[in-house]
Amino acid sequence: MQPLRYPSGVLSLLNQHILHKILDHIVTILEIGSTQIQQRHIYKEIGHSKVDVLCYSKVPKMTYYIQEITRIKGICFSNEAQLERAIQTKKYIDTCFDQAINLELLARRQFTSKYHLIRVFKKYYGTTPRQYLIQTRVEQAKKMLRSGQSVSDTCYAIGFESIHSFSKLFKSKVGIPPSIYRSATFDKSKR
Amino acid sequence: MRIKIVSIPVLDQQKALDFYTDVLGFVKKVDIPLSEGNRWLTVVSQYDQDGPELLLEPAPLHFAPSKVFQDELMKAGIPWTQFYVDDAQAEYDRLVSLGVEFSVKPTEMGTVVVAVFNDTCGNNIQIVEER
Repeated sequence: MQPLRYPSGVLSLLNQHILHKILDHIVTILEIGSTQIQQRHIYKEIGHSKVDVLCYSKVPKMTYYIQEITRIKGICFSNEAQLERAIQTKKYIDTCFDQAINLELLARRQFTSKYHLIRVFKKYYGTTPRQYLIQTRVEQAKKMLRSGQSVSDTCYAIGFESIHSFSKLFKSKVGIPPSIYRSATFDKSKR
Repeated sequence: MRIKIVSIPVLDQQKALDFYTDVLGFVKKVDIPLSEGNRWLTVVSQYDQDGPELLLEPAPLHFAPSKVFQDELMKAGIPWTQFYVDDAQAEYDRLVSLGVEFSVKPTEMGTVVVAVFNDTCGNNIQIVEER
């Protein structure tokens, strides 16, 4: 919806009091719908003079849900520095999961202690950095196996150094060994 | 046990199918005619077509309490369900350009960014980007 604009030049020719009453009435009618109308003054420079432009625009209605997410945000996410540490750690794992990542490295990157980082990460993501790294690697492994890559190629590509430890971990998380997962999903996608 | 289907109440199944496929980009998976013009109608994500199906269920038309519940959630702005996206702002821009109305613009909420839109079938839907 385009804002409605009334330049002050036009307003000065009319009885502004009556016009405002009419506009208030229109706003009341429009508020019955799903949105509210916001009224604000904008000062625009035209030539050498400033013109007062009265602007009406549509803004989202303040719903119960918006009130709640605002309230909860204030309670749970007010420590921005702490939140940022968790987000940056997750981003690093997302992009560097195939490298040799350990907790000491992650903590050093955030200038904090290992134990503090575990607490902070778990607070915001519900899991530890190590568990999240494993989960990310397993998801990537599933993707590669589905696309037909071999178990050994997948193993080394996601940062494991031993096929045995990769297969053991994959089975514990997915329920079946990577070789069986590959034949079940890759063959299915080829059919 | 496995999660295969989750349902969403819709006021008009055909309108819902058009919105969920043409606008949101889901893919029709199952469409079985039932009695009195009703259909067993499911859609899936185009990126996970073997994943969980979303059942577009005409419950509000046939079971009054379902309509009451749906209406009250809509009035309060509470989403019925949520879908995950890679970029909430980009998806917001795309949907707005298609005429979709949002009650919550992309908003940072801790480790996620959320936005809420009207699915035109009686529900608020939340999109979520994980940060």
